[in-house]
Amino acid sequence: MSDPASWTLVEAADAVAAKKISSVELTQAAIARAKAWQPKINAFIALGEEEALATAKRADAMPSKGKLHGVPLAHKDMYYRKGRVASCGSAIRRDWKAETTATALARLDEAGAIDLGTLNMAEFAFGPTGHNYHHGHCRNPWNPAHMTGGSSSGSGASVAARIVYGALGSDTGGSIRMPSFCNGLVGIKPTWGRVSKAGAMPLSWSMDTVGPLTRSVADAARILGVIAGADPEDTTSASVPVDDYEAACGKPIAGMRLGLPQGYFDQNVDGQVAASIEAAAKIFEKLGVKLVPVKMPDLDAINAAGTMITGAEAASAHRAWLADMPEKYSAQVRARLSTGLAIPAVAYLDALRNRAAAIPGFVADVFGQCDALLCPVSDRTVPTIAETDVGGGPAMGPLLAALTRLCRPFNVLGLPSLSVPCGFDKAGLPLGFQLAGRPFAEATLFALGGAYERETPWSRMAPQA
Amino acid sequence: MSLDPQSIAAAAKALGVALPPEQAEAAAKSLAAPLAKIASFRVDFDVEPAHYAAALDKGRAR
Repeated sequence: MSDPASWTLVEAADAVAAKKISSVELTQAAIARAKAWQPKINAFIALGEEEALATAKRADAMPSKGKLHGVPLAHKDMYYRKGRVASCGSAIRRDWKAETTATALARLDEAGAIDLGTLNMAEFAFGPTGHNYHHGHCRNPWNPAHMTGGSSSGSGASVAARIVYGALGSDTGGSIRMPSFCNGLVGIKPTWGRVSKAGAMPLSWSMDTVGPLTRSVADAARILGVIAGADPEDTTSASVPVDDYEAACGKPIAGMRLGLPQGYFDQNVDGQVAASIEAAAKIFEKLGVKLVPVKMPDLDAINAAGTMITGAEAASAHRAWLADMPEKYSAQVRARLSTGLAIPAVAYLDALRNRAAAIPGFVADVFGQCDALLCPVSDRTVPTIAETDVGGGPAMGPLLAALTRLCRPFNVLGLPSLSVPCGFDKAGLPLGFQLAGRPFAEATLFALGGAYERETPWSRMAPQA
Repeated sequence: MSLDPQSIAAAAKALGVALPPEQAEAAAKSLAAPLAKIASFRVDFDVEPAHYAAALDKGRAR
């Protein structure tokens, strides 16, 4: 038997189902890895060792509950579990205990998953780098001097380090895709409304999405298939039927059309990143996919709308705390939230109206020509923690805008996007691309991502402990 | 649309938040470009803010 740490989530779940390994054994090994890695990468905020082992024992004593039976996962510390602290990566909620359980966690529980604890994250999910001044910076397992990306920093680090088999993140402006890119993982930011946000800490309610970071495309498909679907606890969740995402991973892709963006996504991009995208395109072409150049509309306008929307919604959510305890925020998060207080209501509403008007045009113009877009996630290779440690000073705005520039348009437009690893840079840090599709076309993205993954070794590569 | 630091600080103060002058200055700078973009938008009169959810549903493949 190969080392269970090297298994994908699907392989681990299959092994438990076939009784080749017990859930207790898998969970004990995951706990040991978590403890060994923690001093280096600070991925966990709280390791729930006793609770996880008790759940694993119960899992071993019962028939399979579902597709995640007995498999240890852990999640960004913003998913509420009744009676457990959900710090949201902050000082303000350091000891706050949730009174409800997030729908996404409840669905994972119902499918038999083991919850190993809460993972590090950017303070209130408002930061793309992985810095955290309250709980300590999260560090990249491929090289701890480098950033993990954020805001789902611990989700990226813990899955990349092969501690857990998957983790929930959240994505308001790239917070699943950026850590997936930085850590060599697969991450799916679903269509807005595809997954219930009930019991997930809000950042920007009309942009927030819930999704997993995993070791493989099929793993992401499995978790998304479990958590997706309408939820009466979240009136913004969509009633659109959920496709069979796992089956989609194995579907043929020959004849599909993949859009290569002309404009915006090919501007100001590092040479190594650009080369990795070109190499990925060639692999898709070899698989029979037709590459189609697609001219991009004015995405700077889309991003401007995103700035207004996230700024106003986040400032509204935090206004009372900003008034009562501003000193409890880090300088960067306080500065960004305070900026939102100044956004005029008309500008916010115009941004929402512009988004509503832009979606049909983008879908018709872009996805009238292709089934999905192939784009970089980041304009640069993974930076160090030191060079992105800009606090709330004048360097903050330009840096954060640049780091999120290639992800945010799909949040504003509400479209699904799948991040897939596609190699390593000269320094040995991961590279990746994103595939974006029309609304609720996650299955198309899984088909493309799954086919690419079978042709390449990247998803099987792991950092050394 | 553009905002000066004094009006930003005044808006924050009205909402109960005291903004230091340098933070109001930074906010004015960071909002200038996106506000200018917003000012250039010409959205159809009948489009409502919440229509984006319906737009996503209409945009899916059938």
